[in-house]
Amino acid sequence: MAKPLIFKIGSNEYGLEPLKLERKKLYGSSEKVALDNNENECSAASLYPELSLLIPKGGTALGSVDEMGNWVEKSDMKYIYEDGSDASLVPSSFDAPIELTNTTTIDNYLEHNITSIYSMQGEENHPDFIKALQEQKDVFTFEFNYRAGYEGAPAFLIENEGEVFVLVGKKIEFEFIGLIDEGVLDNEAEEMDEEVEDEFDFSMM
Amino acid sequence: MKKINISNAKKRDAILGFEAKPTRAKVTQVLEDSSLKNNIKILKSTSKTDVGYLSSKYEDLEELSQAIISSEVDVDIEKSGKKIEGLKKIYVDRDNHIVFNVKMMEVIKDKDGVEQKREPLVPKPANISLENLPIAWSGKVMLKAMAIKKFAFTKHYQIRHINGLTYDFLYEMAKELDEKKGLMFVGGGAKGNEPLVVTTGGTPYRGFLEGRVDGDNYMLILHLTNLELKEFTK
Repeated sequence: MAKPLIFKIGSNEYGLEPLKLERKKLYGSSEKVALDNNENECSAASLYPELSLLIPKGGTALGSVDEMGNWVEKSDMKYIYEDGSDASLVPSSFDAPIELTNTTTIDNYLEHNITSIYSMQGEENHPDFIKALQEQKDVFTFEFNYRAGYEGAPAFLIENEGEVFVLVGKKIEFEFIGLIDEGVLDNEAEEMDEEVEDEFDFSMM
Repeated sequence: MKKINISNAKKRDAILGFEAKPTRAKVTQVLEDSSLKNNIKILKSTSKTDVGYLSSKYEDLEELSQAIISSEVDVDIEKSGKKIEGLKKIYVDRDNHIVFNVKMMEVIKDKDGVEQKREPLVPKPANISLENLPIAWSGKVMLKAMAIKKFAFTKHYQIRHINGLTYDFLYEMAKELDEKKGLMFVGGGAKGNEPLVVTTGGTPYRGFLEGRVDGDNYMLILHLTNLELKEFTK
């Protein structure tokens, strides 16, 4: 069994195993395939016109340089907060029980872009935990870090018909708009800029 | 801002703007002296130094491994590590020859990853800014507390007015939704129940509209989802 997340409400602890929820595992998926004239599958690559170079998938890497263009190793960098102070290492959420003392409003939860979803397994062993979630008017929230790092992400506990989920997200900076804050429309052509990754499931509604 | 066409409860429609709002990182990675770093893309391998190509030139992988160790055949000393920009996406066949005329297919797989069928790819057309087919005001409102239990919202756009008339239009919309304390389902197409496709070839999503008001200010958010929160086991 994978390592569980331990949630703590008051003096009670509840261990649940997180299982990453992916759309393709619920609904299936679709992917694009390119065929040549002989119906053989082609693979994506890149062309570097400057040197007429053909670069296969995985043939590039990302790196960091300073203002002078000198290469900088990761170990020579540090993390800072917005005020410029050095950031502290946030331990992994698996290292210690997660105390559920903070809640947030539903409106605030809706201001987060959900980037990862975990279905928590073993909730049937903790009816008290499910009851606590069901009775909560607001949403339990905590800082989540899958591995130790410098920036944890806001996470939320959602219960639906006895199933428990952890949704991890990023805060979006929505704003209230007044009459003077009118926008200007772009004047651009449409682009095909998204990959067709999955099949839409009409059964959702 | 990009265009979106929405109708209200009285079936009055308007062309408006929408935008993805930023998410701000609380922590930034910087150099030791706190100056900012620049990210670059560098060249690792080409079609002539890629392991896939090299493995066809040697007896077996063991021989290739020895060649890599002794002669670094996987590195082009002149080009590896070069900063590169302006790459063009292309397709190549199994012999690494550029294919100029590809046929795009869509392969449908079930949840176990098994191919079910394949058919010519037909990019789904965008349907959120069609002049004669606005996104419909369905009137079907789901309480926020229920909506967040049922769906994971993975895309969000803020809708904005482009003149005084559309300010009134959107403010009233946001006020009505704020009073209902819910998210309203919105759909595309003639019947107003089709999934929303923001850009041609993009992923279809179900849309839910949320409105809030604060004095004379409003906030109208289009939440998009393509994933239900339901039982899932290995």
